[in-house]
Amino acid sequence: MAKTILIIDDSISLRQVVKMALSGAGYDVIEAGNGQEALKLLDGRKIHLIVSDVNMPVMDGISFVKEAKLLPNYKFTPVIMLTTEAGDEMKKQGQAAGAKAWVVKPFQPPALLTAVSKLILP
Amino acid sequence: MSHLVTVSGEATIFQAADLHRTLLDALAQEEALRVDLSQITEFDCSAAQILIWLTREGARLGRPVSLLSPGEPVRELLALIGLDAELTFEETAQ
Amino acid sequence: MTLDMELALQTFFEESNELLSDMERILLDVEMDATTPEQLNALFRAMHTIKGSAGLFALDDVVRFTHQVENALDHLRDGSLQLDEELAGLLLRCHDHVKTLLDALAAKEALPVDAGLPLLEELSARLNHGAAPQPSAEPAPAEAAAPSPAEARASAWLISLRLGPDVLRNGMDPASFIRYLHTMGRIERIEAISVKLPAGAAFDPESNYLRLELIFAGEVEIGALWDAFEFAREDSRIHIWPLDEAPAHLAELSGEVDAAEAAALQAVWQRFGLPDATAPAIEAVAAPAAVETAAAVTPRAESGKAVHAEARQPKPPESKFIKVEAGKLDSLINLIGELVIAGAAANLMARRADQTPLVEATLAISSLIEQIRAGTLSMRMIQIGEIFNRFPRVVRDVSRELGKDIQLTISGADTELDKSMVDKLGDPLMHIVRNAIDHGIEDTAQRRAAGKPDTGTIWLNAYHESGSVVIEVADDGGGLRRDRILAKAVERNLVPADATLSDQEIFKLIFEPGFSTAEQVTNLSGRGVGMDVVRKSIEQLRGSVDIDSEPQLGSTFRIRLPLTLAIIDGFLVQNGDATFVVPLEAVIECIELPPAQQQEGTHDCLNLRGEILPLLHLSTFFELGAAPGKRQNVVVVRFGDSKAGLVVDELLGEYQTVIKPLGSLFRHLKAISGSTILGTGEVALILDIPSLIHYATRKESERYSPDGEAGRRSRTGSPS
Repeated sequence: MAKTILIIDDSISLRQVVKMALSGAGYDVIEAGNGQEALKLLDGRKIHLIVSDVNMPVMDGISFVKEAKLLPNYKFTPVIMLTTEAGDEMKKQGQAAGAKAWVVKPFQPPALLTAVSKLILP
Repeated sequence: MSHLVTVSGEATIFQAADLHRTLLDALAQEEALRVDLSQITEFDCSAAQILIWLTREGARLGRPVSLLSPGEPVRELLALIGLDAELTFEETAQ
Repeated sequence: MTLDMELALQTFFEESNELLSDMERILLDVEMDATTPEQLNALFRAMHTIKGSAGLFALDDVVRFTHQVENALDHLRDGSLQLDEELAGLLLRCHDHVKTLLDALAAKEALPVDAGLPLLEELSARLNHGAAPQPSAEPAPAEAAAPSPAEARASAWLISLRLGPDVLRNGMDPASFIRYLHTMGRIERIEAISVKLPAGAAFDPESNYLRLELIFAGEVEIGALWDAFEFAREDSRIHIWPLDEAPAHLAELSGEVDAAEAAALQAVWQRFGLPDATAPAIEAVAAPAAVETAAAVTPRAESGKAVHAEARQPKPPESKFIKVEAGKLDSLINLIGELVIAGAAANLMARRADQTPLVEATLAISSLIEQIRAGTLSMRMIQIGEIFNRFPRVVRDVSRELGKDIQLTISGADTELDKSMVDKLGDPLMHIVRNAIDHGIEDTAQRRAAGKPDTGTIWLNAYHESGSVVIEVADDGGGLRRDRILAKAVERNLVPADATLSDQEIFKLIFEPGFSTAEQVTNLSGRGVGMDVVRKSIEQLRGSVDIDSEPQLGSTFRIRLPLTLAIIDGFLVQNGDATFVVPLEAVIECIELPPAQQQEGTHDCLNLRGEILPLLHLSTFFELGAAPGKRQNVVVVRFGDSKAGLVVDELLGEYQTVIKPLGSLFRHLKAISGSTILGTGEVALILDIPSLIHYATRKESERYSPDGEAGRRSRTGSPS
């Protein structure tokens, strides 16, 4: 059974490309446009990995991770944060919230695939 | 009489605390424990650690623990991280 | 590029344009208000998101530019840089440049990359000036990888992994790293050491106690191996050595841990066949490849620092939109148009067959079609705010350029009209606004002399009025100079020197081709086109424009447009054999022509409750040559403030119809705006009411002009 990845980013085009790359590699991908939408997807279903942007409208990535870590079904789900190289502070906040992996934006699909495969293989 | 505990479904970090508690309780109540691993569908390092802990704890308390029939997920992980020599299993006819 | 990638790229262009207009709107707003963290964050996010997605498509030029802008916005956000008018202006120009880059990409043209360089210089000057941290360098493609001195290469490696206690809790199973290593090469040997795993109550099932020792075979660089454990370095002790160098480090490694673990470690290494180098205590030369990430950094985040990214106030849920290609909607509307016609035909047949149940059925269908039509048309309706929004910027830039102080007040931005019109309305509206800034609002000295406030005002307003959309551009400037316009028009032979014209008519002269002159056209409102182009574009939308102006008080340009272009509610009239459609929104009332006035030429106007109503006999006008019916009717139509009566034989009633544009062959027919096919299959012409009213009123006024000029003028000036 393919592993499921939740991708959260406010850019639709980014989600499209990421989804293409990840599904191409054999993962199932579900997506959300911000933290709040993503929380609605955390309804008990099995999610093996979360890839989340930090800066998003409505609910940002850090707040989302904090919320997700409170849910029994997702408290140990690994999170890859999409950070900026300028955002060291953000990275620290993300790590503190429980997102220990990161990919620096801007990235190209292979870079994300590599990061994902360090944590889960399809 | 030995008591049989069957671990089924996922045995990963998400279930680690519960699995640990179940086995801890069983160990406190039973004289000997047999743990059936054949129904496990997912198995990670945290579960492997629990099995190691269980055999050591059983030995410490003088209550024999046997691990039975590891399925493919269990064997695969133990081989992957080089724990296959550490744990010994008994095969039982179903 | 694959098709999927192309589609995603289109999405990228769309969303970037949305982000850019957000950015522009905020930059224009902030000048009036103090900035809020939300605004600054949204500004940052616009550049951030565009950069992020652009990187995904390998649009490096866009990434490079947006990166620097994002960096500046980041400094704004953290308060190390302050937003002022100058910086807002600079950011607006950066915004423009990004837009230009994206437009060029979308059009697959060469990118004007160099145009961005001066902007970046200005930005970095601002950053250094503001005592901010230096602008960040080029975006690093990836985080600096593990400390990897020397390009250590080997075909076999010893890897010693003492991952931190929290890896499991962080969702990272040590096994997943091993699986990943499998994708890079072969794991020759691996043993887990579990001596640190406590018995009894000290055991925490969610903590990691395992240590993994392994021999990895693969032609890789040491950096790549380090990268495999990138996410697990926190609190971990990781060693990687080329296999042949490893034995020299066993002593050092054993020294890091307690005796039990050291013993287990040595046993494992022995089983790996690594010679025990402990005894002859070789001097530990720090091999360059041996790097250790000390257990490290990031203790739990200090809560001291203010956290920017706190969960914000819950906002109302965002409305959901589906983007649909406009062409699909157009073809749907076209089909619905055909359906309307087919429905009308069915209804007609049913009536002729005199089958009451069938008539009822067709009526029910018609009512459903009507609902579908209304629904579909409403999908095409968008708020006029979409074009209004670009004007704050225009007013700001142009007024600054001219040294005038002008504020813009927008109202009615939520008024909806057809999307295709919104697209075509931008340019004429822009022209009128520029004209108002350029010629309407006086300079400060003149305003003071006239006792007006220094700041001039331009109003943009939109509202619905009897089936039309009205858009007003008003200014509180000096007003149009009636005498100068008339003089110029006479000079250019647009009107005879002795013409008696109303104010309205005189103002409208500025729309005549050839009225604008080089002397009057500045680089702003000019752009080589006169106001005649404005009128032409508006008329192409079946709209009209007129002007109110008072000396010293200002001018108002009023554009009147139909709600939609595709379908109209028509009023069907018949003259002889010909059927015409009058747009229903223009019809005020229908009356019977008094028999005394049946004969054309005797009285070309009608006294309608004390008001003089010019009449136009359609049969004569279109030279139908049919004998007038016994009883004739007058359809009173209105456009703007003018009224006229159309004399017709028969009134056939309301009829909903789809406009079929006339072919180019008939484009010169000014009195006809289109055609339609009736349910019977006959063609009916749709009357261009503004032209007809224009013609009727002019003809009427000519009757009173004293000389024979009338004939010549009626040909040159009407009906147009």
